[in-house]
Amino acid sequence: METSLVQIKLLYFASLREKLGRTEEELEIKTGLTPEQVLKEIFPSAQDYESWRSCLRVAINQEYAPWDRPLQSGDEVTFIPPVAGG
Amino acid sequence: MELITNQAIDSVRLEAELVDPSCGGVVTFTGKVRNHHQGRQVEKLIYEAFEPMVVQVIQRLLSEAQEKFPIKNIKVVHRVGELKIGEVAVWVGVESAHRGEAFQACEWMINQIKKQAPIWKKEFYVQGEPEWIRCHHE
Repeated sequence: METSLVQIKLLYFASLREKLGRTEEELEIKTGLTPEQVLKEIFPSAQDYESWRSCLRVAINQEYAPWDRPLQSGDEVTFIPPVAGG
Repeated sequence: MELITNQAIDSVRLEAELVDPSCGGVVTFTGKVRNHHQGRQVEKLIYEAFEPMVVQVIQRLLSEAQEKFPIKNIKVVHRVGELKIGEVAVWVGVESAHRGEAFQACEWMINQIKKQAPIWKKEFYVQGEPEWIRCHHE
């Protein structure tokens, strides 16, 4: 069975933006990959991954979403560091 | 005024817009920049926002507030960009027939904004390095 590749867009803000040194990027991933798996690709070091995974939330297409939702072509994924508005 | 702005928030003008004659109670919350955080002296701060999502989240919260509380009007404005001590960061205003629901809706709204809005705050101190703030939610 062929695994198809799809394009997703990632947006970064605040402390995560500073850590990665960029505001956004396009990634080609296997269809059905989850935000959790994408975060592991961004932070291959276990320590970094655990540290960020424990404090981030994830939004897909500007709505909060579960970490295990399979991603689709054209999805916009935002990893949301701890918020402090209001 | 727009939901998100980088201009100074005029809370007096915003409150003056809550004038429905069926409403006897008007409750507002004004969130300002204070000069201290966990014992450190704050010089200024910067709010950063994922603006399109903030708009979606706040619009959803405004609808939810109308369903949850028997209120007539509710408005929110949040500022982004660089703010000095004493400046208004966020304003919430509610009008309703009676005071009870106005108090409840206003408190609920500011608490939800704090939990849900994708807005981040970087504080700059008189001494030491700036920090991204993690909020402790009640």
